[in-house]
Amino acid sequence: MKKILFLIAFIISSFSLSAQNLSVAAKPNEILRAMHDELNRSMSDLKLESLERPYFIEYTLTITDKFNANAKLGNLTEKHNRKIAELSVKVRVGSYERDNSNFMDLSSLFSGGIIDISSLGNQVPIDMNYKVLRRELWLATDAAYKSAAETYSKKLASLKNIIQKDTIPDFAKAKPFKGVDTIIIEKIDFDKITNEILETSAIFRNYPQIYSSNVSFEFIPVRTYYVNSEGTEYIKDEFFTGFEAVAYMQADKGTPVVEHYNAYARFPKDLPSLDSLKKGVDAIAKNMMRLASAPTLEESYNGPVLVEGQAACEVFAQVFVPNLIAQREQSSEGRFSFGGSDKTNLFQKKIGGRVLPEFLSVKDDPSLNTFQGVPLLGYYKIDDEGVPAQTVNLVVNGYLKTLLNNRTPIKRVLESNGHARDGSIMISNLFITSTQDKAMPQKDLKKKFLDLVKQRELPYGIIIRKVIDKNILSTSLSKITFGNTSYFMKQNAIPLLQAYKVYPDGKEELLKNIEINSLTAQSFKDIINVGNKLYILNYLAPTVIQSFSFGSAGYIGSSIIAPDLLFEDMEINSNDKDTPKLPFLAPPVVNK
Amino acid sequence: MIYAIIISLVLFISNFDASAQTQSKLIQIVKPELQRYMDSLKTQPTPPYYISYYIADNRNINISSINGVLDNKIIDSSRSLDIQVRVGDYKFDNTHIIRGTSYDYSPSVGQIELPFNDDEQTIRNIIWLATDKAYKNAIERYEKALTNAKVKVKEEDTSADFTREQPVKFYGKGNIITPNVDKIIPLLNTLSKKFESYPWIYSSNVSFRGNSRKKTLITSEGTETETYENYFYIYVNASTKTDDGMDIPLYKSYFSFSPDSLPSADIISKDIDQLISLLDGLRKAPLAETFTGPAMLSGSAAGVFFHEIFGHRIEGYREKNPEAAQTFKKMVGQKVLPSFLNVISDPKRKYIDHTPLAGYYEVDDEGVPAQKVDVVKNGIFKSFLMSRTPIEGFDHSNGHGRKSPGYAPVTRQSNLIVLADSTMPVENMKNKLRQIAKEQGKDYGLYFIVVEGGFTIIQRTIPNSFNVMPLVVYKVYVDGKPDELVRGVDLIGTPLTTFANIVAAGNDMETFNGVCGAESGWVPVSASSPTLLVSRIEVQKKYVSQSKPPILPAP
Repeated sequence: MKKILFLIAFIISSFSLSAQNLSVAAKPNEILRAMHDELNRSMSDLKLESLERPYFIEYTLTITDKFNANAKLGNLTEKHNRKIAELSVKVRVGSYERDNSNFMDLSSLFSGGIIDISSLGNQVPIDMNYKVLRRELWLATDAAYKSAAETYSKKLASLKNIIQKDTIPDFAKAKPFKGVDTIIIEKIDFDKITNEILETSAIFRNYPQIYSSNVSFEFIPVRTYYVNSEGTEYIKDEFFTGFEAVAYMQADKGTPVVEHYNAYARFPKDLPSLDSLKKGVDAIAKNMMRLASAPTLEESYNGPVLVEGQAACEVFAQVFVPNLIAQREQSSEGRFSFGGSDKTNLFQKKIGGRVLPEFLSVKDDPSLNTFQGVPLLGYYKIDDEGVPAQTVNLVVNGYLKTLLNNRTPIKRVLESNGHARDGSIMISNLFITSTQDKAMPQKDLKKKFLDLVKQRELPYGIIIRKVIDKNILSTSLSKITFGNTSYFMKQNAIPLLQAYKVYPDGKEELLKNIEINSLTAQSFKDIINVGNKLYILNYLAPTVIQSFSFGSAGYIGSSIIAPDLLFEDMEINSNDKDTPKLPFLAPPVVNK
Repeated sequence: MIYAIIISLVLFISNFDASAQTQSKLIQIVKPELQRYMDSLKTQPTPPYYISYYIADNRNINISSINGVLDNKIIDSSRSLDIQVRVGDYKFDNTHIIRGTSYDYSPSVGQIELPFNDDEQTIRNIIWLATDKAYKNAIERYEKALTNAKVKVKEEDTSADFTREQPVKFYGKGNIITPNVDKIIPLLNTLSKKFESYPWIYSSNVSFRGNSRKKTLITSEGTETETYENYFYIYVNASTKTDDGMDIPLYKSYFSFSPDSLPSADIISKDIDQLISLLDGLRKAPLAETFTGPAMLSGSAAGVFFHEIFGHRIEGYREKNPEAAQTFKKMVGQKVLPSFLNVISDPKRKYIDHTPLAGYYEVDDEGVPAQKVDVVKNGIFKSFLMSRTPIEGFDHSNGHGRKSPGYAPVTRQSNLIVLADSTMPVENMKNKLRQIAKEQGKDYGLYFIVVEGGFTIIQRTIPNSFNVMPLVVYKVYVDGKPDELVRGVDLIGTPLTTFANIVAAGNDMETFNGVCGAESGWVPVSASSPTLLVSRIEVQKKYVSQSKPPILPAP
């Protein structure tokens, strides 16, 4: 484990951030004191008649001060600033071996309660003092304890009639840890940012063929105060900044054409310059114009595919990554079981087995702030459960070594490796690396690819340079198309934005409306070579473990760093869904 | 008995002809796009016969404070667009009720965001694409409705789908109000701090809610209206839990048309003291038993009672739905209340005495001028409240088509006012209550002072009943013992029987201002009534939460 130095003493005076006011009226030590005092009282006195007292309590207080703005064609359509404070209390009754967790209390599901470990996500006053916080903690702990004690007895009852094959503990022990990871950032000029999105969104005015477009910006700083009964406590600041431009139109015969340009970072200062943003937005508009008149694939393609840059990271993110997350099966009353889908739990029992070609390795490293000068979105020092962030070698020379986990053990991963993120388990900065002998300069890789095409006597091969981001598809894009993005939503298909037919002479031809089909995690074993340069993708990773059962966020800021990937075999088709009708009228022409 | 209520009407005279202002730039931007659609789609097999754009410039503010600290602060501005496209004709169009389906899966374009500034290219572009989608949805829905009409039995109600109304041009005066947050926050903090020293009050807050919007409506029939809707509230909430697990909430609310005319801190502060002592009384109060017998309802309680039990049944369009109970459908011209009672719905009335009425407006959300409706006269049912959804026998709107942004308008209430031709002082009513209780062989009658609200079931498949949740109830003893505060009952019953049992009205008048939620969103409404005496009501035990009070004492 990598040793990380932490500042143990709390910085009292310099806590307040200048621009985003994450601090509340109370001083950090006052907040922690309130948390400690109520936690200690609850650990020693909280007991309901014959029921057991809690063996573990944790308090998480988060203060979020979100800013977001939206613009269309150079005009502001939305601007919000909202500060909220949320308190989550988790109480565990029983013991580390067996407690109230990993059990789905179905009755509480139907009564609208929060399931699993009795956790209560409560909105609390945004201004806080010792007294007010104590009160909130008192009531929330009381409710959490009652529900935990009830769930625990239900779980014990349901276990009476079965012989458990595995007796994996319900909760992993972790060393107490104290840490502070707060950051003072420069004042953020939101007026300037607003002007920037106005300016970038106005670019679409030059493309009247585009039906609708939107440019949005959001900045979400979160401060977390955490205390648990094992002696762990931390304060940390986390940041997310996002810029998204999306656009939609239809080609003849109604085929929907969409594009997105997005940039995510921790801080606004790390976003590309206004000039680059404008170039990026203009580039997607131009690509749409090309796509609209581009041909599609007449028949299904099966053969070598070179996946480059953003596309390499995206296919890795969409298909391979979800399998790297540990998923503990939940039991329930009536013994229904709840686990992940087949699409995401292929590797749960595969530790030790080969999952990639032997020249590829995968590691997850939350400790890296930047890579090759590019700021990474997945950076953190302390995970949500107060476990120090750790570098995890997931796949070594093709063989799966472990899975990412929090403090909920699974059979093969009994301890946390510091990946509890936003109420779920998620990658941080995921690196796909190759041994030297299989990594080639781009030119050689393309030559190798074309050689394969020739060997197979195919008339052409396919290069993929950009894949639709699934999160953007179902959020911003869905909104501006009145749901016409459902055209792109299919099981087992990955819609492509920039894919090219490449003829043996190297000539490239853009293809419209095509998708990768039946790509699974096993398909990555068919990678035969990779590029020698790494592409960095900061993205919002969809949570693998269903967020409804854990109250987690739906998407978590992460990074993937991957080389270009040469697949020996991949199936590519045109999307054969029925297309929506074209609009009845042409867009309005406004005389200036 | 003297009819002592002097209703000093402050009637807002809306001048529909000589409007002071002219149409705004927004209307000028939107109108050509509306016209282009109406003209260009004429040649389609299913052209639209009506298109409307409803644009709301909204400013919402919601600030709350708990125990002296700021709890939440939301200040939001938005400009939103709602589109209605109707295909077919007034008689039968795409909004026709599809019978026999539990859920209508027809797509909707939802609420659309428009830019804050009047940029022609952007606004027309957004409207263009959204109208296209709305029109496609309309065609799809129309085909479904046509098929449905063919496969189902003949409809009970053969009225048309949309009324024909005179186009209206009305450009109202007003402005969007931004309350002074810097003044509000300290006020709320000071007030909410009063609860801090009562550990047994488990939750409390004092909040300010403001809603200020300009509503612009433009239709293909030539209607153009611009109106302002402003309403502001201060709410005080506090609740406790009894040892037997019963949650006891109490509230106090203040309404006004402008943030400056809300009551002073002193008045609210005194009310909070009273509320705290009442809450203390309630948590110590004995449980009431199940009871059938006479009861009195204070003016505001009777107001809520009428809003829920009566008001929702006079909303015209509900008579159209074959699955609704249609309590009053065949009752026009018949006696539904004792002959000394009248009920009016008057959106044009802004005040009763000095009390503002939340359900005030000049033009409704379908562009129909607000009208006073005599719903019940001398106990005889006269008229439904009508939107532009006609029902048999009522083929015009009377200006009660309302909605909040993001919804399609339906018939809603405005200012519901119960008026009595003969009244008596409230003290005399109490004596009469004792007398009736005695005649019925009861030891006491009930006096409902504050009710929380309620719900009413108007479906046919479930018993057509109501449930009103009282917060403050006294037993009034026959033998003259002092009134006793009790807790733990809900007022239940079937509507028609309960109305028939009203025997007397007081010489007072109280108003309940609130926000009513239904199919077309949240709209501000009021209900006013004198104290009423009912010869027979029924109460049942209240639902009691099974969770205990907190195990540990307050920190």
